[in-house]
Amino acid sequence: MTQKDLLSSSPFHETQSVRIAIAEGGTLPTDADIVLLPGRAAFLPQTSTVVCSDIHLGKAATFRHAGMPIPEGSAQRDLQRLTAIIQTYNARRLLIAGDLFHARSGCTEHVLDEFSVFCEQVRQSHNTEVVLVLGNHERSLGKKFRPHEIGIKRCEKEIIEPPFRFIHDHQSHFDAQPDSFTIAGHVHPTVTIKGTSGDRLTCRCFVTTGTTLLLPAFGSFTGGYTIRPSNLTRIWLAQIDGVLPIANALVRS
Amino acid sequence: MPSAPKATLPQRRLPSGKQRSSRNKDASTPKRVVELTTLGVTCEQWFTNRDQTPFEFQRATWQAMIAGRNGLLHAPTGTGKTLAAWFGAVCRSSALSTHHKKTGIRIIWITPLRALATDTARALEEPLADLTEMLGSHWQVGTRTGDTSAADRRRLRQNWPEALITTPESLSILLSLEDSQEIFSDLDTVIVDEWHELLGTKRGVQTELALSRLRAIRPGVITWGLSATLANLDEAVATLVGPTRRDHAQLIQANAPRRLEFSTIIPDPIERFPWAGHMGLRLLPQVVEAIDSAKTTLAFTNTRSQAERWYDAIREARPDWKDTLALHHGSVDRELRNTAEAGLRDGSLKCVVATSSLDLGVDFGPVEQVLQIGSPKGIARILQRAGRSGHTPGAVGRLICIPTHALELIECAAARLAATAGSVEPRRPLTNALDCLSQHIVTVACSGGFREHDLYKEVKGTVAFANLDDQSWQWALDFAARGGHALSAYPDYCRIKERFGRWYIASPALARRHRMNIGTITSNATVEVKWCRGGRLGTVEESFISRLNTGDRFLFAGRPLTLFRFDGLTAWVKRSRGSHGLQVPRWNGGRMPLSTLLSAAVLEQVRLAGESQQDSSAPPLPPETAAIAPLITTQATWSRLPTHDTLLIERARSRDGHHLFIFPFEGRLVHEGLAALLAWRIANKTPSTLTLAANDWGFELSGAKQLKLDARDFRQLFKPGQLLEDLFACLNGTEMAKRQFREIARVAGLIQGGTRSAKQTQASAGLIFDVLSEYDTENLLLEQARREVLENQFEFQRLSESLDAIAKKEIVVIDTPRLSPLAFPIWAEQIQSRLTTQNWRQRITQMAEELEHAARI
Repeated sequence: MTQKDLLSSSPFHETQSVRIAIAEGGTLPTDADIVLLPGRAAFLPQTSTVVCSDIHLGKAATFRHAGMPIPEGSAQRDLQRLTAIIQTYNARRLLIAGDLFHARSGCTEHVLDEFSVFCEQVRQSHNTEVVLVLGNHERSLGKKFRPHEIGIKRCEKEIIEPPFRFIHDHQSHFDAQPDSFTIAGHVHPTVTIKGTSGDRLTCRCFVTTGTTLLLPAFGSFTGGYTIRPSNLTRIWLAQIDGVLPIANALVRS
Repeated sequence: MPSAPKATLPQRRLPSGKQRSSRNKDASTPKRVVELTTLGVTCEQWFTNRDQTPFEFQRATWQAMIAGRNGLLHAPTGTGKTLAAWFGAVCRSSALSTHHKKTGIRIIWITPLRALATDTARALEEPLADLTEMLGSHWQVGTRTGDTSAADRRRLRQNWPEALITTPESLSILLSLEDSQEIFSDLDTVIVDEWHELLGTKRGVQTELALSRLRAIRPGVITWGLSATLANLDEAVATLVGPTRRDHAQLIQANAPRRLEFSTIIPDPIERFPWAGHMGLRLLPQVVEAIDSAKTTLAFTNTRSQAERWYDAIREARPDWKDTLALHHGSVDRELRNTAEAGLRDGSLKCVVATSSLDLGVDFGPVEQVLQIGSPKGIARILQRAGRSGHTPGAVGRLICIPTHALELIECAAARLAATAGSVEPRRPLTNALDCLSQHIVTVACSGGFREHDLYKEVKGTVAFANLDDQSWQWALDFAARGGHALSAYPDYCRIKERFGRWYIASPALARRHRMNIGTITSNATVEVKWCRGGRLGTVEESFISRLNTGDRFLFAGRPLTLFRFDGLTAWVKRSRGSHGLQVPRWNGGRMPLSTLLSAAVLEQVRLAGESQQDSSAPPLPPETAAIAPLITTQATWSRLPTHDTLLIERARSRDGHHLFIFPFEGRLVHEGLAALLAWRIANKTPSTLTLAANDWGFELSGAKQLKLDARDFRQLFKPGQLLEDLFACLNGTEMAKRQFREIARVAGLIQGGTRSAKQTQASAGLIFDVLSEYDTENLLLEQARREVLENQFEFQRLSESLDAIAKKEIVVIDTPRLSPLAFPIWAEQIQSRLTTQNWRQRITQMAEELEHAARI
């Protein structure tokens, strides 16, 4: 086992039909179907689409509503990051794989306004269309959430665009098609890496199992779920400032 | 509205001696004085009827209470404190109520553990039947704790008992009720049981605040504390009654201490005795023998894992004790614990293996001896535990220390000698805990509101907040009202509101939520363990169960179990056959540091052992120390012995990196602080990630790269200069402040305690810490987290003193070929923390290098 093996030499990863690569220094690798971007989002060059999930806007407001004084600020910065990503890759479409908003009590006017300003901005500057696949958190929003008023297209269950299928929770089988490659959110995957001299680091990550790509949670004020890698799993650490493929041997559950 | 009308109070209050009775020209005064003496006689009579005489301290206590004084009763465990205070309180109340019928609570009895409430109620009710007959009034005792069902709570509210047993949390909840003024308007006496347990904790601060509130509602109330094994009695009294009342309060001490005997089981031969580790079962045969020789034994361990392991081992060694052996620790289900307690009480059990869950409480008569498995860690603790045995008349309390590894032998010797000599550790009360204050502000706002100035004065009257400055008070009020500075722009957040000069809770829903939050203690995420066929076993930490696969076997609640299914909330288990190769859950927390007093005694034992090796005419060593002398010799040969005037530093290399071991002998907390400080100063020069580990004897820094440092460099690194700045800076590099923040966040209401309907408002304290550090840097709770790490975690004062001491010591740096006997236990410590000045990419690359290196070996 060499260090190269552990830190994964090839930036490319091929599953049955999809080639996954990582973006380095803002340049797009050619010939990839999915490019993993720094900042916890992915880019699909064929359709010029930025995909991300689990932004959980208004989570801080939900806490405040419940009497817990959490300051605002993280949501605004998350949207700024998203704008920057769209700008860098000149994306025509932003696809959010669910859980854009956190909860009904957090959907305050301020939060909704902030988001519609964002939508307006990316539409005007890059002609970017915003699409949302509903997540479990959106289902509890009720009448407070009117996507057409904010100017986004929404999709109840899933979007199928061969070879891809976009869905919030990959374990809910709507129109499961055996040969499609699923891109999903919901899980908020994280991994913990331990060295022998005692260092330990927990990071959000991209995870693929061959037929599915799990996206890390985009929002800063969100928790994580520690995944246990199997032989089929492939992991990329997803940090704000970079993506790093790592070998499963580094991950200890 | 002010509380009870002041004009009527002097009539209710008793004349407490000549001075007052001469001032008070009330016609009824002479008659009452007669009454007082009768009351004392009534209590005497109760003892006489049982062919007993009360102790002098018991007499003194009830006389002082009848006279209306505040005070503290300090007596060893199991000498009759409860009875003394209870008689005093009942007599005082019955004397005060001769004229008119009262309806509210008369006596509040605060107990630190809700598990003790039922036992206490039983103990208080027992003499009551006789007393009320003599006193001529009908009395009821009720309990209100977190365990009380909703129906019982409703019943209580309709008809308050005369005496209420409660916990600090439940008392806070009662104080937050809208009608709390009425509930407590007839209160005569508050008794705080086991005050030494609360002193020095956040719950102690909560109690102080609750007491100050009760005094404001009912100025005539008196406060009494009961305490055992405490050194700083003066401070304890002041904290209990408030600094302004200290001079008039009475401190009563029992002058007849209980007879206690201490001994240690010494392993043989010592060479094969493990150097480190907390699970060593080597002394099992001797332990079984000791249990066999007594009628009933209480075996204490320091951790829950240790309790599980020992319970299992004893049961395996003596299958015939199957039905007379029980396990008792905080994670075992309440019902199973009750069975164990009942068995101890009626003497049907041979042995109970327990953790600190049985440290406190009503005495178990049949217990003949106590075993302390592992180092006792403190002198107060060994006294407390020894006091749990020998409660039959004329019996002696017996405690046997069972060391689990070699160095604990010395700790046992030191603790045994110190306990016999009668020295005990002090417990310092906490000050300026802003999280408790902000919780208290909301509590008072829930119960009919407050004027800012009044509450400020009230709070300043406690030891905890005597030095509170205006600015911090404003911040705490602001935090309670608007969530602090960063939130002022968000109208959706508001907990308390000002109307006509008074502050009130903003909505009934918030009051409900606040009450729910007071009562719950969030610990690490825990999972319930249940039988597949139904029935609960207790709780384990989620981090343990999620590592297991279905079908894995583990030991819990003294039973070998197989994990059948884990659904995220419940671990469903089946009984497993055979008990080999079982995993034992680890629970976080509960690891007490060796006290300062004891560390000094330990260093003294090391010195004695070293001396006796060189000088055959030296006085004989205590048996424990004599047994470990060969190990001390090895240490002296491979390295050096630490002494009072040298600082020993060892450098060693192992397959997991380069190590530095440093032995200041200042106790675990100071070592953690020193380790963080030193790591920060080293990593500041060259970016690196260092792992820190500490025990009570010294600490370790280790890293992947060699640290090239000599005595002169260390002299520089240990310089006290800029200590505070450096410590604050290094806290950001470690996770310590974040860990401390958890408790603070809960008390201040930043994380929700309840489980129901809280799904969308769940976040880890760590996440909130990050958000606050980024978007609300002026939040004083962050500041408090850092301050608390400095004070509670590192004992800042002592740390800075220890740096001064090190400056005067000679520094000796020695390269050891392998880990020395003193270094090995530190290396084996499981709980470590890290300090890093590298970015995540560098850290991952380094970890990959390490792993690759390990794979090559």
